[in-house]
Amino acid sequence: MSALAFTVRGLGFWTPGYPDLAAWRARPDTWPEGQAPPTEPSAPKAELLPPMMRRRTSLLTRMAAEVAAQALQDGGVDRAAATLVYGSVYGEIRTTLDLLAALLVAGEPLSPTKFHNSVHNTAAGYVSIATGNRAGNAALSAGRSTLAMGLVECAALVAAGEGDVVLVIAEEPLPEPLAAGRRWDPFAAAFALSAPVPGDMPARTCRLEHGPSDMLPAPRPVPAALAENPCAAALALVEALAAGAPARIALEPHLAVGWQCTLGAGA
Amino acid sequence: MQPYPITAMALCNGMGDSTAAVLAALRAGRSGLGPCPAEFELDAVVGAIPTPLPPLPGFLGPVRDTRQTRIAAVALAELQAPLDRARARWGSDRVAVVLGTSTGGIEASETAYAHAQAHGGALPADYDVETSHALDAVLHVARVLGGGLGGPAYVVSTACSSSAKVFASAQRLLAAGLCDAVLVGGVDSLCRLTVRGFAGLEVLSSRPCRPFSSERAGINIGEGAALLLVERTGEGPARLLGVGESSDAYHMTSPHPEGLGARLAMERALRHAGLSAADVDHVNAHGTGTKQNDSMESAAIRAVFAGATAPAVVATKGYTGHMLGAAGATEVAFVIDAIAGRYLPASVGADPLDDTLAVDVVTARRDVPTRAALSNSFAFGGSNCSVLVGGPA
Repeated sequence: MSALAFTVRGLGFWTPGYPDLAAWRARPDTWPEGQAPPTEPSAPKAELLPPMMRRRTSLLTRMAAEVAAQALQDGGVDRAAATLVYGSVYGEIRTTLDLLAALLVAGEPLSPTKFHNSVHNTAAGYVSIATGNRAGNAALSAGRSTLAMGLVECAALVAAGEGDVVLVIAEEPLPEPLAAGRRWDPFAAAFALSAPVPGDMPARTCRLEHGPSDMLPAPRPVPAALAENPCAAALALVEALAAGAPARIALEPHLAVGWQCTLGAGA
Repeated sequence: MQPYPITAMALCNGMGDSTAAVLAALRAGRSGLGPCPAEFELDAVVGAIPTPLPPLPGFLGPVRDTRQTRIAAVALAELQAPLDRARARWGSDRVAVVLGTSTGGIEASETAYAHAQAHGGALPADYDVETSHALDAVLHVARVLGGGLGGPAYVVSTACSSSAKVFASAQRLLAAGLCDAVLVGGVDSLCRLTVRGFAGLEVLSSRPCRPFSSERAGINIGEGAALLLVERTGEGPARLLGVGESSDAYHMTSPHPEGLGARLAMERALRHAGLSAADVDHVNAHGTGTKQNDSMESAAIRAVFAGATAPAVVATKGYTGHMLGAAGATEVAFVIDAIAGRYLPASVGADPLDDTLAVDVVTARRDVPTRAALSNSFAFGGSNCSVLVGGPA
């Protein structure tokens, strides 16, 4: 087995209107003209975080905590021992914008809570505190390649014998004026990875390869506003893993040649 | 882990705009801290790069030309020859880029946001959130100016441990066979948000910071870049021996009071390298200049080295200020210079020492060799990393 192989033992998913992967997979294939997909509730429960902690957190951190908890439970992974890797292009961009407004418009002192909540590893910090997890964690960013690079980092962690690794991908909307018209819906997905065991979960065993992005058409349509999310490649991956059939998913569909994830590599 | 050679490095920060200038100041005990440049309208002591930053080459486009990418370009320019050699030896697609940053291009966003406020919401023409602000903006610049680096490329952003943790990623990418060389490091620029943010936390000193001194009064913010080349094999001044990562699981901004996470990071780095505390001669401390850090980091060092000879402790943020996302790699580079030059730099500002800490802080330069050294970085979110570096084989 290649050093770039891993088995996905658990999954997590959240987007407005679809609080978990089962709800997401049961979505309609089309929405009647003029009818938008459901968008409530606007934030996940994120019950992994104690209420006092949760009320200080952003949509991004709540989404990350929610899908991390789902993947940990789905995969039967020890939440206090796993290594969590977080990937997001813009991270805590809403909180950052709040700080810019306080800094440049109001001229106010900056809120210490907002300041420490603006770092890219905010969710990593809160989740580690909430779960008593003293393993290392990481928060990554690589533009539209964030999913691919998150999987590369996680595959290397698995290969290094670091045990269970959970990749959490989360992206919230870009606020104006910085967005300059870019609009997308928020979502988060999580993948609990571990070293492959021959014969165990062959359909969920994956191999990372670099090559042409010859992605098959997405099996199910996704709402246009979600497809605009810069982490949208994770939508195809989570869906394929949930379906459990052999597949090849382009992790960098914006590139002609990029990282691919082949599912069913353990068969 | 298998040790990997560190074959080249380049630095720029408050001490100077070239590796030679920075290391000359370190060897001479000369701090790079000073008043904040007027353009930031901040009354603070900072470590600002002392010379004007040249604009990026025009072909990269105006939206990519930010203070942060300019700083990266200054350091990259010094690495052209080693990167040319690495690309020729391994192939462009086998050279990865893993960079730490906490600020990304936020300095550009501050200017853009102010412009939008004054112009009915319109952003300036030379700003784009995707290429000016985003954490990964610096990756494109590094890959292109590095001569076309085609291996995996990502940013690690865990606040003040960012560019220490890149060494862990680099080591794993090499061990997994995903690449044969990694350009690692950290790049952060001064900005209003971080200076004012730390002011809000009431940890900013109005004077040059004095880690481990009884007269400490908080931290200063610094900027700069440290870029290093780690390769599968090769000749260099030092080797990456191990990296230890941990989380405090305690508090978002306050370190664990007994330094539990710091201790775990150092112990894991030693275990990772198959070494013991007795093999380590010096520790480059996180040493920010706060009482909380000095107290917990000293406790952690005492615990790790209980039963071994106490290591020499060097704190270098009195030279650079706290470079946040660029601090970890900068301090690894300082350790490498100490190993290569057989000296320990003075911890500028540390005298008179806080005697209650009971660690051997180097207050005046010592001309002694180092076999191996740990470089500590601790961050918001309880993110800790200790990088273990040794001399050449």
